[in-house]
Amino acid sequence: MKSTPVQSLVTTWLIGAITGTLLIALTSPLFVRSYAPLHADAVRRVWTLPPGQTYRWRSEGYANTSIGPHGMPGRTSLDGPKNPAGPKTAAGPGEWGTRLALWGDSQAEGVCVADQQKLFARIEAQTDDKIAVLPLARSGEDAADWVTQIPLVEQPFQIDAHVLLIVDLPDLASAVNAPVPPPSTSDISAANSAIAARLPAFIIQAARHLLTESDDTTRRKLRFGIGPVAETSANQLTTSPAIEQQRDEIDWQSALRALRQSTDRPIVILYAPKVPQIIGNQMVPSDPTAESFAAMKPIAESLNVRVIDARPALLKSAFAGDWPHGFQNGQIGAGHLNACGNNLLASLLVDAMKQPNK
Amino acid sequence: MLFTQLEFPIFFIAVLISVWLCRTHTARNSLLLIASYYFYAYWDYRFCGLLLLSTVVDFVVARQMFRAQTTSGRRGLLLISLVVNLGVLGFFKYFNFFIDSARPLLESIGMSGQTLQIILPVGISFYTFQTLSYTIDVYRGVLKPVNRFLDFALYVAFFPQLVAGPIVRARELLPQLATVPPWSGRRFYGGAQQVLRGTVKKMLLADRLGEAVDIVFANPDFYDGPTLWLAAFAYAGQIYYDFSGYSDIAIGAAKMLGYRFPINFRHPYLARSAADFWHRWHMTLSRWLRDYLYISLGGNRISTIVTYRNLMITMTLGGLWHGAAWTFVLWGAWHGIALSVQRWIANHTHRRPPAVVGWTLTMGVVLLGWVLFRSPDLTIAQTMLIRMATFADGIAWYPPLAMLALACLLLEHVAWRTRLRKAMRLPINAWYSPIATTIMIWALLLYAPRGFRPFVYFQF
Repeated sequence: MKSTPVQSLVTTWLIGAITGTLLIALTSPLFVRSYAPLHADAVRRVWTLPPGQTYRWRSEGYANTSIGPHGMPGRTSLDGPKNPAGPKTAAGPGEWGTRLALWGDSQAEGVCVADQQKLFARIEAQTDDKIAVLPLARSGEDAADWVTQIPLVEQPFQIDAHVLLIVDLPDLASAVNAPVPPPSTSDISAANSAIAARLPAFIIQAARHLLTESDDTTRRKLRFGIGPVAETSANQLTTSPAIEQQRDEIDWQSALRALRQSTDRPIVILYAPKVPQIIGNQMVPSDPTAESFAAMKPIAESLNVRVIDARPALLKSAFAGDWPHGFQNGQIGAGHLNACGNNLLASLLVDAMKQPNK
Repeated sequence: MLFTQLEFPIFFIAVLISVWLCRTHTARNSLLLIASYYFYAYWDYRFCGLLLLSTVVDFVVARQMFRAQTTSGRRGLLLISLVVNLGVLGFFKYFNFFIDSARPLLESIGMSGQTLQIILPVGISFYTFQTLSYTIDVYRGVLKPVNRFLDFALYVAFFPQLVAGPIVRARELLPQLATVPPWSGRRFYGGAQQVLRGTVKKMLLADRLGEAVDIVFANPDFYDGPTLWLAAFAYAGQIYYDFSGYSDIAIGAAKMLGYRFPINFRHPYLARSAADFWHRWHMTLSRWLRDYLYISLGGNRISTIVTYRNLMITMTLGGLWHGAAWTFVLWGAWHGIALSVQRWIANHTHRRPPAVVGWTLTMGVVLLGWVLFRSPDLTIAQTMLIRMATFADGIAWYPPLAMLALACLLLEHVAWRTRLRKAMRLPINAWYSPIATTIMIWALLLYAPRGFRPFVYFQF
């Protein structure tokens, strides 16, 4: 039986729609980030990226990250130099041993750069691999998460010292909120993981774009009422009121004591805020939380927590034309640390290691 | 409401279904009028009054003009229409600009140079020109006034072209609104494809280019010469895809409703002369300026000098129509100079330059014009041009997706000159049409930049 022109047209369009979708599915890994099902790590007791998988990042920066054991981004094993004399304690803050844990948020996680350009890899490379750095940083985490995890990982991972990359000072102040609850099946991460395990990334991304606002988290609300609607201030270039308020309210004594009490091993705070930043038509060289940092530093040092201030080096690098933040597919001078920024911070840390008593 | 908002397809599908279910002309036009006013009120209901004022004045004036026995009477009525329409446009769009520009003079004679907090009603420049075309045509006797207020109100407010054109003349649209258009599946499909194509142009190409343009033009001091050149090219691409994308959506949406709008763009970056560019860029505005301003000033019928004067006046006012800023005035004047020089050369040599030379010169003129057009002020424009010319040092920033969008611009213009032109319309029976359509829909969902990004021409 011959098909009618309409049937033939419908068939053509069905086959075409499937072919088009397949072409998108095949090419989407070039442009769409991973949506990896998260893994509840038994040692760290947090959700981590899934060990053994490759994680794609495509929006700002462009890199594939190999996920190692315990969700370490870019480091595929726990191997590396171990201190034969055992871990050092806070009594000897200058000697950091040979195995460092690197904590932080997405800036330290560094999925936007290739594995060999990540901060942990640059530190290892600059010490000729005499030091092992375990990247335990995860996007969205703060000191509450780190303080919770530090006692859990020290023994199993044979950590000698802890390095905290601090970009936003309120992240450090959150230490007082520890401990954070362990992963549970009722977490939103568990629900998201179940979706990520079942659906391809391009479908999840399309659904997110349809269902959420541009921040990727707020649920989209359609408006059918007539206007005008109140305008929102989209371009706030100055310090947000929240940060200003926090500056006055931060109880650094409590926060840093919580951090200090989580371990007897050396702790190093590597302070690297986003300076300088290009925002709109301004270059902002100043650190909006400079006062808060000035208040935090002496308290940290009194508790035997070493503080490295990366701001002068970041500014110097940018003014020399080597911008430590931003990417060609994002904006140079804004956003996450790039390869240059990671290398710079690694140098600062390695230099500090060589000057133990400073 | 923006064509690219998620609310628009929901609104439009509801309108489409309702309109095609209407059997009578009155029901159909009433529904479209209500939908159009809702579309406008979605932004700000308070300015619907201005739209209605312009509609009522021009409807009444045109009818009285038709009945007037004397030329002076008709002229007086035309004057009323001009004063009301241009007065409203002048107040909302240009009041602060003139006060700012004349402040030293005003203050020297003891007057206040205070500006007012004025919100520019979206689309006012477009619907003002549209209603003016109606009264001027009736005045000239080339058009009879419309009898049904409903039809005329819909002509002024018809939502696909209300806020950013194309500037459809009364004689093109009013006859179409006088009847119920017949259903045509082919036309409906063509319109839907054009809507999709326009959305892709706007969201995937223009907005992507705009990301780079906004950042570089915000402070050209930071960036090196090649990055500034890239930003200038990117703006040429952004404004083309933004506005031609909008026009495609408007024309396509009208087609789906059963109406035909004139085309607004014809691959302007293939132009080989300044005049050719204006026959391809924002064609409905060029046509309006030619018919209602340039010809009214005498066109090229009086003398060579007057022709040049008319060109300069027309293009400078055309620049000012785009926005109340000296950058727009200079942009218009710059194109006026280009058209005058081209005419002078043509008159004196009687030979056209080789195609490559003509194209290169034209694109140079257009690109330099876009730098003026996009710069927020003359200082930024000057900085851009100096740093571009001297290939200054600074941040080298070449966003790959913006460069990909520029490559699309180049390929699209080249393909248009080949046999691919027909294929680019995606005929319904072609095997590749469903594949391309599906890919475009997925690409919009996956790759369009996020956030609120209004059309560039909404500000005009």
